Amino acid sequence: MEVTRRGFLATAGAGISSSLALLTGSSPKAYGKGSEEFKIAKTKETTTICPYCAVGCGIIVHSRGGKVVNTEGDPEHPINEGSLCPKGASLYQLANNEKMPNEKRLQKVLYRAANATEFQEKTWDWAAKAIAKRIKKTRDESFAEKNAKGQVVNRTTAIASVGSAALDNEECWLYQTFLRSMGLVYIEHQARI
Amino acid sequence: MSEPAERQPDSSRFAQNLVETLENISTCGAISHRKTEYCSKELTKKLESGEPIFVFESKELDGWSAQEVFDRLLSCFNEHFPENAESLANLEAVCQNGSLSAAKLLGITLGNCWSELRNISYKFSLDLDLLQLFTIYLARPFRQQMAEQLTSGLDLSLWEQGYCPVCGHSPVFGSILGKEGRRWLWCCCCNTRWRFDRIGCPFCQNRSQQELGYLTAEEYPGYRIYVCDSCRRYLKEIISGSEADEIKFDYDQEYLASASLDAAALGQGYISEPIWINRYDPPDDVEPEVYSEFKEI
Repeated sequence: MEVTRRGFLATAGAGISSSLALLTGSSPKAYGKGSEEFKIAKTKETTTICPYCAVGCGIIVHSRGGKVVNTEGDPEHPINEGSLCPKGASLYQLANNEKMPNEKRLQKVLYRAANATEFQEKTWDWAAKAIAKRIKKTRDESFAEKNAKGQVVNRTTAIASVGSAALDNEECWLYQTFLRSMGLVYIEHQARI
Repeated sequence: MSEPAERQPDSSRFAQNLVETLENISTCGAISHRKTEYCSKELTKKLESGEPIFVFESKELDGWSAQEVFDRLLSCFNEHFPENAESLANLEAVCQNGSLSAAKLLGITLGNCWSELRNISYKFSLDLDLLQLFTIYLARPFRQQMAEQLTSGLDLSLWEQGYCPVCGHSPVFGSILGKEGRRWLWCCCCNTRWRFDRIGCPFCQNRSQQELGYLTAEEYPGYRIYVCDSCRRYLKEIISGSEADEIKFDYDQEYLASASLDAAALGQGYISEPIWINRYDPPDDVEPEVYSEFKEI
């Protein structure tokens, strides 16, 4: 049975390099002794897609023991060929910075009342209700059935929306439906900006 | 590089001396400066099909002084490998007494005739490891010049293999350059550099990200040892975030001076194959005598 050189050597279990034995001054079996002095860490590289805009740049995530230690552009990805915009380049910070979680990013809802100087911590529940109340109030105060020419418009121009490139098609449809059902017309997408 | 660990011999002096020796060889008149014309269409076809472009023909050695290269290399090796003094003396003696010649040794190396090299090692009691390393650098000035001539004007981006596009040997060192992090592999036999996939094993072509990764040693910042858990081979690589891909490291120096990293990789259970025989496998290339020898390890 024919065996290729590559196939045999891959299963040989041990190999010698002509330069190594000479340069390290030791036989292959003795290599383990020298390497005990080094602090060796093993890192995995995994490709992924940037979660931000719809361009979908390729990213390589470096991880060690399940923890992200670095991110960078994927030079083999046909879209970005290794380059990243500032948002993609800072993706690492989503996972961690010097400490876990990233202390430079907000972890809780902070609210500053009108004319107040300090932020207060609030719950997500409180925040969601407060936002809904304000949207309804602004919309009701600014809603116009007809424009100056008497044409039916059924719109509000007091609220705008920017986003979101991270949504998929179905989520985008739901979001559009929600905004237009309230009468918004200033609907923009961050990837166009 | 930072200082090597205390228990490892310092190979950086040998690296520096060898690089100087190669530079001296290129200017001493030992090498022929004849230029040969090649058909770029045929070479491009080879690149596209994954076939190395260098095919050795003995007539191409006309005008070369193998002896001059031999003598200069021997002087360098004698200085740095005193423990192999006997083998080096044997090598010199057999070339002087006519049993062997520098030209014949060069021809055997360029033709990748492993069995002949091994027979020479046995016949003249020459250390095989030493002979391999010596002949690689004996042939290096020739292979390098051929590589420069062959690749001039060729589009090497057509090459997608892990082995060298010129001579077919496996890479022994690599680099990741620029902010885009493009990966380059290097062949010590002919000094050729070529692009390869950032994530992938150049030896077995494995692309499974679960089985690929790299080792780092705190003592050697800026270096990585890329490993493949499928074939267990590894490749040392230097990382530079410099904007320009034009940065040219002295790869000979980096490769030889970083022998401690090889020890680290081997200590983690990875393997390194002899450079001489670790090369492209044509479909009909089977050398059973090579396998029987390595079975003893």
